[in-house]
Amino acid sequence: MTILVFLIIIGILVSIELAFYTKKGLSKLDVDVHFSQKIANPGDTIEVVEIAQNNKRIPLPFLILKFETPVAIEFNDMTNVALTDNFYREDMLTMGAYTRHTRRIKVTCTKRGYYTFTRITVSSADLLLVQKLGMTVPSDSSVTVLPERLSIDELHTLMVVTFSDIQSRRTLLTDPFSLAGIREYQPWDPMRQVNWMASARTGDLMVNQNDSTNNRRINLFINLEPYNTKNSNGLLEKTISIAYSFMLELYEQGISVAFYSNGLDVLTSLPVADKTAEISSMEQRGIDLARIDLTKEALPFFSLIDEYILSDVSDSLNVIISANCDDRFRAGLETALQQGKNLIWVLPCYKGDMSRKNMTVEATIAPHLKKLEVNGHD
Amino acid sequence: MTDVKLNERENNLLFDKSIIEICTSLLFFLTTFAICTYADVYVPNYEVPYWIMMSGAIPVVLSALVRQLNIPSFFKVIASFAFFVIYSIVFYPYFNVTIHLFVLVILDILNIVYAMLSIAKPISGRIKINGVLFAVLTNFLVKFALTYLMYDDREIDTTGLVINVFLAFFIYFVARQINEFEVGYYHSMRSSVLPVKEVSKQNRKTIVVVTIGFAVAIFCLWMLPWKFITNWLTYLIRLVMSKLLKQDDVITDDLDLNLMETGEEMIVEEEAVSNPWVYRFIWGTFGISIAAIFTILIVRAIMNEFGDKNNIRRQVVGSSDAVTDVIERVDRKPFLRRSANVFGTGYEMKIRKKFYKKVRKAISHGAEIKSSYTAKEITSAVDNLGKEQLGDLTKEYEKVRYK
Repeated sequence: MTILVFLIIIGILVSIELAFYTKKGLSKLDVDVHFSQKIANPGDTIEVVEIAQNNKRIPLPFLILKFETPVAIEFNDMTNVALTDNFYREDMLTMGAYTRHTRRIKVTCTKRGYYTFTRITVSSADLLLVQKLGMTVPSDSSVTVLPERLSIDELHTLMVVTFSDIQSRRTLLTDPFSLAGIREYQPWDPMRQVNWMASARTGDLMVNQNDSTNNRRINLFINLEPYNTKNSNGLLEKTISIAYSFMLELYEQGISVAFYSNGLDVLTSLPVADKTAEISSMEQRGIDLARIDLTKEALPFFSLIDEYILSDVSDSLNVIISANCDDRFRAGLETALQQGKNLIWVLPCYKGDMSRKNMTVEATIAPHLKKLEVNGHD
Repeated sequence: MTDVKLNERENNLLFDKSIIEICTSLLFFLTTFAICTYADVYVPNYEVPYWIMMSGAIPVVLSALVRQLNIPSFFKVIASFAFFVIYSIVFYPYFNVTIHLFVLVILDILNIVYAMLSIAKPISGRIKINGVLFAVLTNFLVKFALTYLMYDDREIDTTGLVINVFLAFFIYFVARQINEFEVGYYHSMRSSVLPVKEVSKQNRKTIVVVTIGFAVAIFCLWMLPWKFITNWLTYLIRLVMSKLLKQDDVITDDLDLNLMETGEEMIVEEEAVSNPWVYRFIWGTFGISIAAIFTILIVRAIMNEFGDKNNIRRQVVGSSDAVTDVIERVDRKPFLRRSANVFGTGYEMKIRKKFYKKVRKAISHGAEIKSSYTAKEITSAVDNLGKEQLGDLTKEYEKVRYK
C-alpha cells in the first residue's frame, strides 16, 4: 500500500508539473530569426541569426527551432538541414532561466531574389519530457539578393555601342544650369568655373563641369518573356544581370537612365520600373530588379513598346535587353524602327549556343541587334 | 584495441549510455539486495551485515563501466567476472556471505548476458533503456515471487524492500529522462557544431527535478498518516461496493474503523496519533530544510560549471567556421518590486500612491491621459470622465511632488 500511495503522490506531482509547464512553459519567451543583412550580393556570406530569450524563472530543458529557407540561401554547415523544395533547418538551443541563446549560422546567397523565412516553429518540453510544447513564431525578416554584376569586359560591346551613340550626338555647347560633376582645374578652364568650396576641401583647384545641352537620356527596357518552350530562367536571370550592370556602369559615367520591365514584383505583383531617369540610388534599383519574380508570368512586351517607345517624342536612346525573340517581339521592334525610333536590341546568348549566335533577323532589325555572349547554360 | 577518437557529441552519448548501464546494473544489484533481505529473515544463520550487502554495488558498477570500453566482448565478460571473483575472495572469510555472493553472481551473470546481447555496437547508436525496464521487471518479479513463497506469520520489516522499490523507480525515472531526451529530441541533432555539452548538461539537470520530486513524494509519504488514509479509502470502497451490491452490513473486518463508532474511542485514537505527528513534523521540517540546502548547493555547483564562475555573463559555447553560439544571462526581475522608494516615504508616499491609484482607476474607466500631462491636466481629464474626483488631492500631490 505504501508503494501505491507513493506512486499516487508521484503521479500528482507529475500532473502538477505538466499542467504548470503546459500553461507557462512557452510564455515570456522571445524568439527571433533574422538575416544579418537586408541587402546582399550574390556569393556574399551573410548570417542567419537565431535568438531565443527566456524572460522567466522557469527553465526549459531545451528549445528546438525549426524554420524553412529557400534553396537559394545555402547553409555553409548543412548538418541538421533537410532539402526538399526548401531547406528545412532544425536547431537545438539551451534555455535556462533568464538566459539568451544566440546562434549565428553562416549562409551563402547564391541567387538573385527576395527571401523571407517561412514557418518558424519552436518546440520544447516540460522538465520531465512528458509533454511536447510548441508554437509558431512570426518573422518579417528578409534579405534581398541583388542581381549579379557582370564585369566591364562582358559588357564591353554594349558599352561601346551606347557611348558611341551618345558621343555622336553630343554638342560642344554646355548647359550652365546643368552640373555634370567636378574635376581638377586645367589651364584652359576659365576662373569663373572654379568651385572654391570644393577646392578648399580637396586642397587643389577644382572646377565645375557643366553638362552638354544635348544630354541624352537612355531608356532601358527589360523583356522577361520566356525565350524557349521549356520556360527556362537562365537567360532571363542574365538579362536582369546585364540590365543591372549596364545601369551601374552608366550611373558611374553620370548618364541618366530610366528602366522599364514587364517582370512583376514578388510582393506587389506590379511591373517593375523606374521612369524617373534620375540618377537616384542605384541600390533601390538593384532591389527593384532583385524583387522581380520570374515564376510570375511577365506582361506582354509589346504593351511596353506601345506605351513607352512609340509614344515617346524625345530623342532618347532605347536599349532593349531581351532574350525573347519571337515574331511578336520582332514585329514590335520593326514598328518602332519604322517610326524612326533610336533603339538597340541586346540579345543575351550563351557562349556555346550556336543557334542563337547564328540567328538571323529581318534586315530592318539586323543593324540594331547586338548579341551579348554570357557564361552559363540552361 | 582500436584507437577511436570521439567527438563531443559521441562522448556525451557514451556518457549517457554509461549512466543507463549503471542504472541497469544498480537495479540488478537492488534485486540482489532484496533477495538478501528475505534471506536474512528466512535463512538460518545468514546474518550478513548490511554494509557487505551494500558493497556489492562496487563490482556491479565497475563491471558496467568496463562494458562501455572499446574492447572485444570476450574481454569485457572476463573483466566483469574478475571483479566479482575479487569481491568474493575479499569477503570469503565471512562464511555466511556465500549465499549473498551466490545470489549476487547469478543475477549479475543475467545482467551481463543481457547487456552483451542488447548493447548497441556503434557508438553513435541510440540509447536503449530496455535493460533498465528488464531490470525493474526482474526486481519486482523476484520480490513478488519471494513474498508469495515465503509468506507466513513471521514478522518481517518491509522498510528495506519498500526503499528498494523507491530506488528502483527512481533509477527507472532517471534512465527514462536520459532516454526520452536522447531518443525523442536530441538524436535528430547531428551537427557537430551544436553546443552539445551545454544541451546535454541542461538535460542532466532535469534529473535534479526527478530527485526533488521523489524527495517530496517520500516526504509526503512519511508525513501523511497514510495508514489512516488507506483505511478510510478501503472503508469507502467497501461502502460503495456494499451499496452497489445492496448489502446492508458494511464489512469492516481487520479495520481500525471500529474505533470510530464511539466518540470516546475516537479521541483516544487521535491522541495516539498526535504525538508522533509532532515529532514527524519537527523531523520532517528539519529533513526538508537540510534537503533544500543540499539541493541549492548542488544546483549552484551545476550552475557554476555552466560558466557562471566569477560572474561571467556572456559565454561563447560553441564556434566553428559556420556556426557560432553565444549564451548570455539576462537581467532578472526582482521577486518584489520595491515600489515604496518610487513614491518616496511617509506622507509623500501616502499622497502619491493615492493619486497614482485614482489615476490608474480613471485610465481603466477610459480616461485618456498622456505621459506628458501635468498634474492639473491629469486632474481635468479624470474629472471630465466623472468616475473619479481628484479635487484637493491634486494640490497635495503637487506640494509633495514638486516641493
